[in-house]
Amino acid sequence: MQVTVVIIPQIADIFKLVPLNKIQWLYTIIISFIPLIIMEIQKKINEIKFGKVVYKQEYQ
Amino acid sequence: MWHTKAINEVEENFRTNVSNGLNEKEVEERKNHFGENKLADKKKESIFIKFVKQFNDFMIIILIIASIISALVAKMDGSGDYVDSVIIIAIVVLNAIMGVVQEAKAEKSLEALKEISAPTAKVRRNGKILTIKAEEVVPGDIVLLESGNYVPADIRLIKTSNLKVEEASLTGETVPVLKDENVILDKDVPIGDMINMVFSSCIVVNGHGEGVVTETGMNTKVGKIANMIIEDEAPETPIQKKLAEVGKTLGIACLVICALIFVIGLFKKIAPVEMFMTSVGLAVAAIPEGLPAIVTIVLSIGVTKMARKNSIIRKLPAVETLGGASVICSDKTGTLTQNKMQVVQMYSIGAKEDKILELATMCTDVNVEAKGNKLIGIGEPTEVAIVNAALERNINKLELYKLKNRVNDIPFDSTRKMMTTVHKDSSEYISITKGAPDVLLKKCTKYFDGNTEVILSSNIIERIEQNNNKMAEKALRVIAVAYKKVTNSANIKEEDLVFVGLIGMIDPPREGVKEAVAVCRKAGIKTVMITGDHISTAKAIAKDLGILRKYDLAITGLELKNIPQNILEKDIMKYSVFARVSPEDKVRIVKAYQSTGAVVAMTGDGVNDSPALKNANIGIAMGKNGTDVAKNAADMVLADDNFVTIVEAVKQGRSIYDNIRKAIHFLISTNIGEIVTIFMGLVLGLKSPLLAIQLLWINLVTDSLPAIALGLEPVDKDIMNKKPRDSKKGLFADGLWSRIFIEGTMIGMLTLLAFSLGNNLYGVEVGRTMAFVALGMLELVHCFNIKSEESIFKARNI
Repeated sequence: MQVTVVIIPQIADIFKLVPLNKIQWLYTIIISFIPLIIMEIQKKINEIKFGKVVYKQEYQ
Repeated sequence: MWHTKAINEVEENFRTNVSNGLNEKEVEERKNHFGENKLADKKKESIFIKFVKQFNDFMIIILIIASIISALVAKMDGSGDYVDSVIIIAIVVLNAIMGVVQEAKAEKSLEALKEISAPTAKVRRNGKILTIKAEEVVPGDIVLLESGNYVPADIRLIKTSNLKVEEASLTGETVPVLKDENVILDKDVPIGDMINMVFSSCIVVNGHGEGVVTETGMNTKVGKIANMIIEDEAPETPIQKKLAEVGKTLGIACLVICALIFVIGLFKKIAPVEMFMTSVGLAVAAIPEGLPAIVTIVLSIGVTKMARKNSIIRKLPAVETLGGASVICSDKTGTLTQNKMQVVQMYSIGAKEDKILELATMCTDVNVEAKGNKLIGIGEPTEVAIVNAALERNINKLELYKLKNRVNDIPFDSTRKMMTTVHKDSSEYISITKGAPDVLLKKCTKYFDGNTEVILSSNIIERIEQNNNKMAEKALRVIAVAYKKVTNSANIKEEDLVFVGLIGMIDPPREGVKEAVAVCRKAGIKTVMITGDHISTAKAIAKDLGILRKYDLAITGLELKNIPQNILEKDIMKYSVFARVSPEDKVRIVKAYQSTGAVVAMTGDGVNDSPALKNANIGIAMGKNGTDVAKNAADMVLADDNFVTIVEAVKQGRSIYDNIRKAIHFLISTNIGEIVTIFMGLVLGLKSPLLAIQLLWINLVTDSLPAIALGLEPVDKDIMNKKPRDSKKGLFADGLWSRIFIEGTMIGMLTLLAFSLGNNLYGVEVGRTMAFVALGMLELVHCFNIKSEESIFKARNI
């Protein structure tokens, strides 16, 4: 939905957004996926540390 | 005034017939004339009112004011730029439409649930006894009342048998009133003394009776009171209450931050109108006003799903409690077992099994009826088991009766523990006796070896007794069968009998129960069997199902009475089987488990089970065999009376709780992300990274959908491999708050990074567009991160 607002010019105008070029999209996508990497690392650490992942601790 | 009339006058007045009841046409006419037998619901709001109510929210009002200010500024400075103003109003309207749709969906789910758990009534119509919805009862109907029923309407009694009714809902008096249909009373007698009448919503606690319906719906005594007390609001669950508190606190904190941002902006010489719009946008973005609505939607859709799986939730808070259940106390008969005796073993000294069954099936009071193309026995469960076992071997009781007509009998009584039937067999008679082996064996002098009758020696008696004991050890109910030939059908004496064999029966466990008990064990839930049955039977079944394991103990009600409550509380976790217990003992058992901090689910079906059901954290009533009173006292009703369904409900309860937690986690952390973006942008001296309308779009449109999706996630495959939630731990326990803040800050800082990058390299508009897209995508990625506790590349739900 968010992307649609940006790529349809008429809607983008309403929201005062501008079209992005490939590089700008690439920057945005890379930044957006940083948490995925951080969280995956954290989940792995938790798995190694506790044998289980974060939520499961509450049931131990 | 019906209490002043004789039965025949009432019958005449209502043009009904006490032996046949009304016919279909009469019922239809009266239904049209008197309407449904129900109390008026609270007036439902129209869609328009619901829509208007969506605007009755502090933040929405601020938004509307902001829109007006924006329009006024546009008019005053002559720019004519009303886009912001129109967009804000459009978003507010879109939000209201979504709110109405979601509310309607939740309401529909709860309505459907109400429909499923609607009370029923037994009536006689067209000479047949029917069970109908209580709301279909009409004046003139003949209603049959039994212990445990709610009285469905105001009724003039025509027949009673020790009928006692508790009328506390009308009179406040909790002592049950003994009813008498034959009394004709004075006009001015108070309700509490109208002993020839029973009134809607009162409870039959003893005996049974019949009566003519005199008033229904709002014309009943309770209907007249109900006019004053109609309340139809569903109670708030603990999560909803907690969220309302959290929402308030967060809301105030956000408003303070927004005011701070506004002031900082003014100091930084940013135009007041722009700063005002940004602050308003941020306030709306930051305040998690959608939280309670999402919890309601998740709960209502969850309970609908549960209803489809035979667990009908009567009280919404039960869903949360179910997820934390750590002890399930279950009745044995009908819940853990099939409540259907089956012949599983026979023993004789030479006599063929067919011979044992042939004689036993003749010595029963079971009716054999055709069901489809199959014959089945209907009657007392033990006798039905014998007749059905015989039918499976093509031994038909009816065919046997044609050849050997039953001419006399001595009915079973609990003192003799035997029953006898006498049959004409060509020129002579045969009397067949079946009963408890220990009693019947003493009456036998011979045994049948398959060909002839042989004198019963002490050795043979010992052999029979040994086999009887072996069967009893396996928890089989054992019946001995004997016969003797007589010349006269009268004056039959149950002595000098010829022993034929033993029949061992058991009420087998229900399918899937053993597996469900194992699932409970893995899930850290203790399963406890509570039964009125003998301890040996209870132990054998409990062992078979895995409830009674190596170090577990079984105890009888009698032994329980001798244990002081404090000792019981100390040792309660050692017990897994309670046999020969009364409903009163159940309350003690529940309280003892609760004293250890356990969250207890307890099943029940009778009137006397109500205190235990109310005391348990989750009272579970039986839908098929439960009384109305038990169902009303319970938090949940099992449509199929099956233990497996309880375990499934716990699984769903856990899943719903987890999903609500995930939705809350998502919503609050993304809101924090939005605050951090704007606040840090200002602190770092950057231009506003997002405009008010951009923030509004993200918060009102793109935030709520992933949150709902998280709330409706399918059950996690590992959900029953975890121990129950600690009931003392709150919603935000185990570091959820710190996770929310850390992840929210991460989202905010990364959005700011996207803005800074775009702003520095390409200008502010590209920066805002990159921040807008990044924030949307970061929220989506965050949603996937929250979705599963495992790596998103591994996670798989069932």
